[in-house]
Order: sequence, then structure tokens, then C-alpha cells
Amino acid sequence: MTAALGLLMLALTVASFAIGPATLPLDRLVLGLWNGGGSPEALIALQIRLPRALLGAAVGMVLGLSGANLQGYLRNPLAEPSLIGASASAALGAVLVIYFGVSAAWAPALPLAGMAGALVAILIVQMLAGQGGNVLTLILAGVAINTLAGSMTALALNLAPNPHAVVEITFWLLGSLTDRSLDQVLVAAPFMLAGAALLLLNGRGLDALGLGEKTAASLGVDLRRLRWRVVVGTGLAVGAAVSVAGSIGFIGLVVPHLLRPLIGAMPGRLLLPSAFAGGSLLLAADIAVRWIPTNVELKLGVLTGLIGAPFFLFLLMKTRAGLR
Amino acid sequence: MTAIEIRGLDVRIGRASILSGVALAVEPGTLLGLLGPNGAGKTTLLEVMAGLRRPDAGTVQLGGQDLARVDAVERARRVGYLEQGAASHWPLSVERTVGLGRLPHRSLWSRPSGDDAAAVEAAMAACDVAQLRARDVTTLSGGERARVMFARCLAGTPEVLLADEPVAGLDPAHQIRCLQLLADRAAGGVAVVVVLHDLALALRFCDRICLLSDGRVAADAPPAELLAGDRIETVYGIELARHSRDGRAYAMPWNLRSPTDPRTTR
Repeated sequence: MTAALGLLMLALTVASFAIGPATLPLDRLVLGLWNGGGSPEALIALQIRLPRALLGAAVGMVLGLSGANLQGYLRNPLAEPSLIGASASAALGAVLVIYFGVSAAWAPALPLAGMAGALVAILIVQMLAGQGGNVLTLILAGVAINTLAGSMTALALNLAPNPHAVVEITFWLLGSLTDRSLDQVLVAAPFMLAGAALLLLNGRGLDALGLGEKTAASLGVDLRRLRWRVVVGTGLAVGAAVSVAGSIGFIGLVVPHLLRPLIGAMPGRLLLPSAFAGGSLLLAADIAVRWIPTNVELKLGVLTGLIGAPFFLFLLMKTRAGLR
Repeated sequence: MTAIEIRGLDVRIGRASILSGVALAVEPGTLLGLLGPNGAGKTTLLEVMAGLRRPDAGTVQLGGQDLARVDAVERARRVGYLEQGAASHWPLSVERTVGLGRLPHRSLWSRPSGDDAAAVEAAMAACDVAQLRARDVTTLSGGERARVMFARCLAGTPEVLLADEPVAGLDPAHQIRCLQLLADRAAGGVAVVVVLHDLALALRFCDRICLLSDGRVAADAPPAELLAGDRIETVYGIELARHSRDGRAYAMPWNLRSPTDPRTTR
């Protein structure tokens, strides 16, 4: 199953690389990538298609992986990466950079500021949540940070010096993989990798935690370390993802739900499949926004939200039916 | 050597003193019943023995080693802990749930070994849940779930077994089966500490009973010795109906002690 999802993601990555407004056969694109140089194929392949395909896979993977981690850790199937405030704070960091015009002068400033925002948020959440490994305080701290970051973003929009900045910020917030440079990808990649590595280590701890905190501790799980890995891993990975791609919702929420009927509910077994399924889903969505014939290209975050929100409602109704 | 030994134990939560000056030693092969009124500190004492709670004073030794210095995974292999009212948050199969008891025995990436499978199988058979193996654990009845959680604990094959009210919610047949099982483990050399509220069961099955009252040890003796005195009556503030069967004395709670009785402490 995991291998099949991995292959699916690989196929979609290639498909994402092959599809674009300029119709170029795949072999010419790959040749362009291989030979380098200044040919149009090489430029399109290296500067447009490759970053977009890689980002789609990477961003989707970390969103799926951190969604599976948070749902396992919080033992709540409605948890998603934005819950601990990392996404909103990464967005705030990025918005500030756009607001002050830094990003126009130096492109990597955007992901760097986004990740700085996410890191500050994680530190504050960790501090607020206290020393014990308690779950409830973490949620409350996350909610507080989320609200604060959201309000500050709204403030930036409110005080924006000109309509152009408002449009730029708003569009960026909608989330997209269009026109990202390879540099931006390279700046964010190490943080996504480091975060994903932390998140992949949590399988056993999350499995044990399904039996409650005390039982997990009695099974040798260090709850404080587990929480640290979940929070810092999510902060790094999602912070880096949001800082290059903008806010893309619902992937982290939906993916574990799609997989549970296929793989089972054991949180540890969902981690790697969630990463592959998240990557696949985001790549598919990114291919879809390029296919759907609209005057202006649909933003990726808009599409995932449009599909994700009804799915969320469907989940809610299923849960309610189960409670009866 | 004692399997687990506690000396001079104090535990405070906030300003409240939960346990003070508790001393207790459990040898391998002993089934010790931990009894006492609600709020006497039984669960807290069990958590300290399981290494889940650091005492404010005193020492806990596991097989002669300071428990605080035993690595968490090593401790998890040697000490099995059955939480009161344990349940699974996820709809897992019974077999998977029992398998979680093997976590401390497995390395990070390894799949369950033959030993793991055998231990899970034995634990399920012992707790009479093997026929439920494919069932979703969240859809079981309370009693069935309690047996599954008990099997989860046994699957870890611990040398010290700590069970917090394992018979709560079980029918009489499964209560007896559960205590028989604990007694069997003890007979096999495991040190077993079980928190119970059922006096008759405790007197019937335990080798020794430790009676806690307001965070202190009020009595620590074999059942016959304990029944010879009136510690149980005093601590709970009840009158007992005493009986015996096959030469073994037992008792059941009969009446509340009248508040004017000079021996009533509570």
C-alpha cells in the first residue's frame, strides 16, 4: 500500500513536470534539464516546471505527514497542521516581508521570514504549553497563537500602504505553487526535510499514546520528547511549506481520513502513507488548477479549500451518525 | 531480593500530601492486594511504582536498582502497568491492541518477531479474548475491553505487574478468572500488585494485603492476620461479616459503623 502510494506520487510528480501552458514533450524537457544551458526547454524545465513539481510533492508530503502526526498526537481526527499556529505564523512572517517590500528585492527573504515566523510560534507554543507532556494545554496555546498571528496578518492588510500590496498579500495567502524559483525551493527544502525526519520518528510513541498518556508512559514513551518532536517537526516542515507555497488547507486534515479505511487506524502505520498521499493529492490539485479553464488561474489553496470543506462537513455528519 | 521496594515515600500534589512515609516491599512470587478507601493514595502509589510519577521524597528500587535511574524502555520491559479504566482511542483490532504491549520489546523500525506473536497469543488466550481478535476494540463491552487491556499488559511479560482495579466492570466469573490469572502470574515468579475494592476477592486471592489510609500504610499483612484484628473495620468505618471456606477466612462488608462507635475514625 505504502509502495503503491509512493509510486502514485512519483507518477504525479512526473505528470506535474510534463504539464504546462507551453506544450513540450516530456523527453525534450528531460533532455533540457539534463543538458542545461540557455535553450527554452532547459529554462522552462529548470526554472518553471521542476520547482513546481518538486514543491507540489514536498509541500503535500509534509502537510499529510504533519496532519497524521497531529491527529495521532492529539487523538483527535479533526486536528490539522494549522492547529498549533505554525501555518498562521509562517504566513504572518511572509506577509510582513511582502508588506515591507523586502521580498521584491530578494526572493529568498520570503521563505526565510515565513520559517522565522513559524519558529517563533513553536517556541511560544512550547513555552505556553508548559513542562508536562499535556495535550490540552498545547491545543489552547496553539489556538491563542493562531488567533494572534491571524489578527496581525489582518492588521498588515488593514494598514497596507497601497492597493497593490493588499492584492499581492491576499493572492499570496491563497496559496499557490506557480512561479516559485528553484532558489526558494532550495531554501525551504532542508527545513522540510528536518521537520519530516522528526515527524517520521513518532510512530511508536503515537501508537502507544492511543492507549492514553499514562499507559504510553508505562510503555516507555517519553511524552515530553514526543511532544517536542511533534511540535518542532510540524513547525519546521509546515512553516517551510507555507513560507514558499502560502496557506494550503485541508490536505493535512483529509489525508489521514482517506487512508484509515485502507490501512487501519494505528497512527504509526499512517505516517509514511500520509506523506505519499498528501504529496499525490496536492500534485493532483496543482495539475487540476492548470487544467480547469478559468480566466485567471485558480489558486491552489482555493481549490483544496473548496474540495476540503465539504469533505470536512461530510466527516462531521459521519461522526454524528456514529455517535447516535 | 525484593522485586520492588519502597522506602520513606512522600508524594505531594500541589499542597496536598497524597502519600507520606510509605514503605512497601514486594517479593517475586507475591500477589499483593492494595486496598483502602477512595482517595487513600492507591493509584498514586501504583504510579510511583510504575515510574510514572517522581516521589517528593523516598526511594523506589526495582530489583535492587534505583527506579529513577532505570532507562524508560528497560523499565517498561520489566514493569507492566494496567491503568484504571484503560481504553483505546482508535478503532483497532483486539489483536493489534494486545500487540501494543510488545512495544518496549521491539526496536524502532522492526516488525513484530516470533516471540512477540507468541506472547500476544498467550496473553489473549489467558484473558479469554482470542476469539475476539478481529473485533474493533472500541465496540466491545466494558468487561470485554477490560480483558483486552489486561491482555495488553500481560503481553509485555513483565517481572513486576501493577494493575489498577482490573476487575472493575467484570462479571463474577471474569473477576475470579482475572484474580486467578494474577495469582498464576505470581506463582510463576512475578511480583504482582493489584488495587482492589472488593474485600472478599482480595481476602480470597491475595498473599498479602496492604491497607492504605490517608496516604499512610495502615496495615500490611497476610489476609488471615489482617482479619484477626479490626484494621479493615477501622479504616473503612464499616462492620464486616466474617466467614470461612476451605479453611480460608474471608469477610464481606455488612454495615456502616455507627458514627457513635468510638472506634470509628472516619
